[in-house]
Amino acid sequence: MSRPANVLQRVEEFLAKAFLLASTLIVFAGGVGRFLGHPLDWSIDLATFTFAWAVFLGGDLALRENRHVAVENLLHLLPPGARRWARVGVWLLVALFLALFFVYSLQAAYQTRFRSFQGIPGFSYAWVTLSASAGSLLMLLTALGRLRQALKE
Amino acid sequence: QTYTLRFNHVLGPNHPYHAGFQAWAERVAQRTGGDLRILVFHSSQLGIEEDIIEQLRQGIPLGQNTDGARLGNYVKELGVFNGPYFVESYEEVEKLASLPVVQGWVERLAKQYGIRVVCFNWVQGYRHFMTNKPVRRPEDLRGLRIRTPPAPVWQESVRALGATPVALPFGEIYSALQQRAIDGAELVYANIPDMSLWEVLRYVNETKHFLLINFQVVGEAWYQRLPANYRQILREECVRAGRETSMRIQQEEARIKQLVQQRGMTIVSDVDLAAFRKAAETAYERLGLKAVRDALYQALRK
Amino acid sequence: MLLSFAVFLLLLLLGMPVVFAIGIGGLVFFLTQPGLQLTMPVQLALAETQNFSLLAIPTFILASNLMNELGVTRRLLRFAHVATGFMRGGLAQVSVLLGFLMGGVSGSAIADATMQARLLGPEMVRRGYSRGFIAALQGFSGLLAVAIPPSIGLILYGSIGQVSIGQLFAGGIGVGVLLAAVYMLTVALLARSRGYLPETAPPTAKEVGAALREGFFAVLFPFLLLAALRFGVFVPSEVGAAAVVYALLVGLIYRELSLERVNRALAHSVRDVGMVALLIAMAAVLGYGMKWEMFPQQVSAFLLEAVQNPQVALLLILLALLVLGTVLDSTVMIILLTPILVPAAKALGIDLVYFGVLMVMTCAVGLLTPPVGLSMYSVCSVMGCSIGEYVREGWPLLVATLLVLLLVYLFPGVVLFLPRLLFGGGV
Ligand code: NA
Ligand code: NA
Repeated sequence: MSRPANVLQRVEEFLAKAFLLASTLIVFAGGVGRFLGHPLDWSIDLATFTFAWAVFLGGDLALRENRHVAVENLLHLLPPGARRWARVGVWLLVALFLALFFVYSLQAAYQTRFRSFQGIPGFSYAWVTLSASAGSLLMLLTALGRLRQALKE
Repeated sequence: QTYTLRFNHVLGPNHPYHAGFQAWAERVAQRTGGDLRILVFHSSQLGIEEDIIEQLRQGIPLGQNTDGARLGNYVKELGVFNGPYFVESYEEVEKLASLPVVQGWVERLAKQYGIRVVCFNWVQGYRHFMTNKPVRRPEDLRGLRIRTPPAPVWQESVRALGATPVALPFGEIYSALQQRAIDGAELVYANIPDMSLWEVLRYVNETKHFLLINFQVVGEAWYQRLPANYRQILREECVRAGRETSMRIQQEEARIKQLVQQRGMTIVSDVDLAAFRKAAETAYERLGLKAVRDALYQALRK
Repeated sequence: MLLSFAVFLLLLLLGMPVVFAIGIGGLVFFLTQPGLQLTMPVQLALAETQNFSLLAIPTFILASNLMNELGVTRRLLRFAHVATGFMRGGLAQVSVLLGFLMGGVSGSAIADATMQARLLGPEMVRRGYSRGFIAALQGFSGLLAVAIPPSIGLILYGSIGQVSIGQLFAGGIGVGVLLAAVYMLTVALLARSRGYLPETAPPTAKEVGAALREGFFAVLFPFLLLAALRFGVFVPSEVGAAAVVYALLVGLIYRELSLERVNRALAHSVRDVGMVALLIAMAAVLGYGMKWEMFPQQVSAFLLEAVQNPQVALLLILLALLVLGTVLDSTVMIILLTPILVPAAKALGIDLVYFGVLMVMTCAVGLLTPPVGLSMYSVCSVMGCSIGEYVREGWPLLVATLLVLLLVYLFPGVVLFLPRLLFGGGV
């Protein structure tokens, strides 16, 4: 793996973990704060914001390691040549889907720039939407790698 | 040419609003010979309110039942409709709708943000504090954790009235009350039988702190595509159905009050409303809506 | 909408990861509707991540992984082993008991089954159990996490269908107890016919005491979390976060807490969360077309008109769920079908708590049935066995599960006994 790609993956991994841990601890703090009579107005929104980022970054980490479930039973019945083309087709479609998702997530982020979190006024909802952009872009890169691999086979 | 609008709301299928929206849809279809259809979706089936509002702004044929707090994100002054003790009767709501200054805000919402208010005379009734101990004065609310919708206008208002607002999604209310994770909620009468709240709450304190006013909105782009006479039919029938539904809710409240008492809840009606009104002033100051409200009161000659 | 589902199934069969097959299937609907925009799928997927109730999923996944890393699960296991190791097929009985104990803490069948397979699998192989049987046993034991509160499936059903989660949780307990009893019976019968032997002599009170002392805080785990729920510290959606903090504390008490282990638990968790939650997010995109076309209303109208008898209708619904479960994920099914089936059940006069527990359990069985089952894939990949082996060795457990569902269907009291006791008559 090339060096920049390696750095990218480590940053991604670190952020995903940090967001997941933050989300969990914020939910915990929200419960405790409420129990003690000092509810945190922002806890729900901040927890779901960090959750969104953990999901989309974690989605790519899972994809890199082939952790997303697929049904390959039928694929194994095909002759090797056809199997290869099925694979190429599948990853081409996935890449196309992720590219579309990326482009439209940017548009959605732009459209929702006025909308703010209910519990955190002034914090634009666009920051949540951008988690989908980051995640789909990273997954697009991973899917393109898979496509290249399938073509080489 | 035919037009189809999908209209979304967060309330359940048994809420009087749902029947009201369907009556609106039926009459519009009748008067346009079926050319303008409204399909009504309950329980937020088409998504969360904020998303729908964003989508209808893009010209997608969607409508949404919403409130001043949400529209206040776009035109700040509209937030005043969600202020505590803002209006006192349904008649005042109708009068407000016709004020030129309010019409000006509505036009700004349409021109600048692409959100068209079709009508805003739908009233769900008064919201009251519902708790496990009687509440008569703002002091009685001190230290009570009250579930409040997670918007600043609501939160500030409930804080001003003396309680500690807790932001929780609507669907979590029952279990949070059951587990005593919160001490109460502030809701309208119709919510009690819907969620069997008598299982977990003992008092309805008639604080009447909000008269819950709703706005029916569609996308301005879609609205402008309609022929002028269809736009008029859409508006007229919205106002008519809104008036009927609001009246129906007022009448049903008497029946629900009886039911709620049969199920063991106590209704506290000797609430010191003057003290609560005074406490509410702080909310308007903190939200920067005091001048807006006073100007409206002047226009209403109140 | 039909085209959307056809595309989804085709891509699934071509070996595309399920999450993208669902997403592309969903996208097809938006491409075929001129009035809609492609920003909507993005918004719909994101809206799922902004649902407070869904936070139970990542928090419980993180809690299980932390328990695994910090020795909490191991201590639980040791206690269970002392308690049941003397029976025929002792480690198999341990699996059921561990599943039962973990069920009170974890809410996810997949996370639980995977964890148990990792934990108990190697030792069971050494003692001569077949890989297919171990995989199936751990997979089905994971179902106990769905029945016994807290349960992500029941939280989903309750929050989508506006049914009290507290009552659903109480209702799940009866099913969980029955399920565990029937599994233990099945294991005992299989142990006899397959010749699995006991591992230990019956424990003395002293041995049980020692195991309990050593693993005290681990065994206390489920009970403390339930107490935190009952005494009003947390709402159900927050209990997973409490479990995370408790796992960290227990790790600290047992001196097993280290940055490296927490880091490893986080690394496993972000991948699990990325997989499960992204699937749920994409399912919202695929489900939108059904709602837009008012498909739920049509189905419930059909059920109401075609089948007047609630018992027959319920049976048909459950059978349909089992069939759908062979290819669809249980979480996806609960999310897609709750809004369709709850109004139908309500109109048929079926108790919504009883219906919810039955529906969620029936959907969860789909996690373990081929050709598509997330728990099945997971345990088979951990145990390194083929789906065929899993089916050959594990079918008695499926039969046992179906038997329990049949009993629950015939005797609603199994579900409703506790909610009525705890919440009074007006369930
Ligand atoms: Na559980
Ligand atoms: Na299955």
